[in-house]
Amino acid sequence: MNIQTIIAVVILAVVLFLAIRYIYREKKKGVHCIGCPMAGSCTKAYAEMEREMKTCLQQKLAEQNSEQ
Amino acid sequence: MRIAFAGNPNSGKTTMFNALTGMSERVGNWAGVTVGKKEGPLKEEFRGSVDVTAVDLPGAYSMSPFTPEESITSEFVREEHPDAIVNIVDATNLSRSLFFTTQLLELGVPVVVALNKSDINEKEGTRIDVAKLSTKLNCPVIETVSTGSRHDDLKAVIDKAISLNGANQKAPYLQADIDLKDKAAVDREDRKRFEFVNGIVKDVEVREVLSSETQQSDKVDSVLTNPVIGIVIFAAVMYCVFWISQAWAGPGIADWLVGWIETFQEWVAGQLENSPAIVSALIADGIVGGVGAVVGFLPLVMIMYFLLALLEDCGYMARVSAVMDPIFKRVGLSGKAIIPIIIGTGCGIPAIMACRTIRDERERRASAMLTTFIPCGAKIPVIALFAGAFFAGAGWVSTVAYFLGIVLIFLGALLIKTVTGYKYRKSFFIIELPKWKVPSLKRAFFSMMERAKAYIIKAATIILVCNCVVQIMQTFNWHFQEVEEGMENTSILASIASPFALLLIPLGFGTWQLAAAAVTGFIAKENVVGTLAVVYGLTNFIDVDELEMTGDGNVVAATMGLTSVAALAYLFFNLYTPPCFAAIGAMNSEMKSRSWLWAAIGLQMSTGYTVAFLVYQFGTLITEGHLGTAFVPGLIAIVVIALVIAAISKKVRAHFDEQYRLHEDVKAAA
Repeated sequence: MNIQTIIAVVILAVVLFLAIRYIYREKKKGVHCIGCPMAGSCTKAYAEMEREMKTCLQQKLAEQNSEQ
Repeated sequence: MRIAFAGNPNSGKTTMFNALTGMSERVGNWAGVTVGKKEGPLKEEFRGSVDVTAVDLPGAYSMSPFTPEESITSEFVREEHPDAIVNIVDATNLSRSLFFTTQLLELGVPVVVALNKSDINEKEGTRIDVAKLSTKLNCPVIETVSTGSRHDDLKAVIDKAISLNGANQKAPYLQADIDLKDKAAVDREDRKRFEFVNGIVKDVEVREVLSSETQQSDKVDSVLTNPVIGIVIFAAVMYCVFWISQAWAGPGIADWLVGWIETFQEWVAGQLENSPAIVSALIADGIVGGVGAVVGFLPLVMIMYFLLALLEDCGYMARVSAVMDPIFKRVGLSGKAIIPIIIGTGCGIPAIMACRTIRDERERRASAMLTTFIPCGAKIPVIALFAGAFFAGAGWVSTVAYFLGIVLIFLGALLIKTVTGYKYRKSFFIIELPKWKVPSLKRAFFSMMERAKAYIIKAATIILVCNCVVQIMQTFNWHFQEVEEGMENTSILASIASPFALLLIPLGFGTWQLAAAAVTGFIAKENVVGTLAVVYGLTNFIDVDELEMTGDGNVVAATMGLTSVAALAYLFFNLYTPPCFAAIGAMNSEMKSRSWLWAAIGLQMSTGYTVAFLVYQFGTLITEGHLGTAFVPGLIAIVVIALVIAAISKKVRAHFDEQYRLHEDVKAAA
């Protein structure tokens, strides 16, 4: 293997490692779309909204049950 | 200490939030931009030594839980007990804004009213007696301009909010004790509240121009929202946007950029000429060539987003919603469906999520299914590649792509209405038309740069990895031996893509390379461009000497084995089939029903297939005087699709009788 090949392989390995690591980290953070300009905030915001509405509904149901 | 920022949509909350926290949450000149709450610490220059967190809530007109945005705001204020509320009031529309203010004042949390957009009032000669307003509302009122460069006003608001921490808020108006489930009682109370608010406004506000008077902007709006002229103007505006971004300025810069990328690719290949073929192919063709092909279209994407940001900021997009509303109502879609469609020109996932504001379940699901027919930002490189390679960069290609998307939404909605047996009923659509303003070039520039950054990140991550995988699959066969030149059809990629290619023969593009590109497009649509550049070689799309797209249909057609008609069919196939797996995931969360999800995927696949078939077959008939290849098998496929739809429709309607039958065994009285 000549020096150009070694350098090329190292660069390729580093670039791929960084790209895959970035994708993995973003997915772990809950970002659905890599490279999204909103940083996945649309899905995060709606997931949060859904959780809050569920909590609100559960509380209302609990209140109704206790009234009955 | 936590301070909540609450107020009507488009009152300037997020602008103020960004100014106070230094964050850069998305701002738009139309209601409904903020859809979730966002938090951030205040900058030290505003809070001093006190630890203050600002919470930006979605806009709400009242505390009623009609839409998720209003529900978040009302639940947050009720359940999370902020230490103070900064109520951003649009000073140009006091009577509407104060309705919500009086509700906030009933919560017992200290409120500071930021009378925002005061600069606009000054220009229009509207004067508000701030001291009197403060007395009537029983809370501090401070005039602010969120977009101003000096922030003394914002500092005054925060200082006041901090000083009120722990204080008790007395309400100037208290709602009577009514049953909140009784709509009539709620309506009566709301009217009383409006009377109270109107009384305050009469006392404190003096207008030079009455809102009942017709102004210049009203005359412009009457033209722009006209059902016929409005659509023609919309078509012309969008044509200009596409022509500038994809036929004139965009390609000029893109051709130059792609040329340099190709020159770099040649240099890299030259450096690696003594290296193993796989290393050279992976780096020169896969990474530099494949990613470079996608990045090369960045100028088109940036210019388009810049122009759309200008249109949004000036207030035109809200007018577009008003124009399209009557059309969509006719096909059983909610008037609100136009908003996801406009969002969808950027990205399909927030567009699908935005359908959540549509109350009716059937309308919501239908909108989520159809909204991705409008080409998103990821599809721009695909449109640009084919327009440039086959149609000399003609602007009409983009325009047709977008307007055909709207037509397909219309037809798809009619189809859903027919299948589900849905009867037309009235649905109301109310949207605030923001004031016309000179669009901010700075804001449009930052919006464009944000998109550009996201585009480059996507290219450097997802597309890079995909191209490497595609390159490896193209280079090796199943025994992991390198395939020889001319034997690419024995590669892993060819063997996986070939079965799909068989299905695509009636559409005019039944080659494994095009099938592979279409399949990788489901990961990210830009991959279509990247994969084509990998499998065909970037040099076949550009002229190195001229540093521009060849635009010569004969050369590219010979490489791809496509006629111009087939190329158009391939383009439409990629535009109107499901956009990507992320969008399918978003539809899954939205539909909350397996059958609706599969119906959505089926509808989109069928539509893409049918449109491509029709374009190829009838396009070939017109241009060459005969039908295209495999017309009969393609027609059989279309007939099968139609039969499946008919069967589903019959099954859905069969349940109607059971559901709505009133009596079976009951006999009529004698």
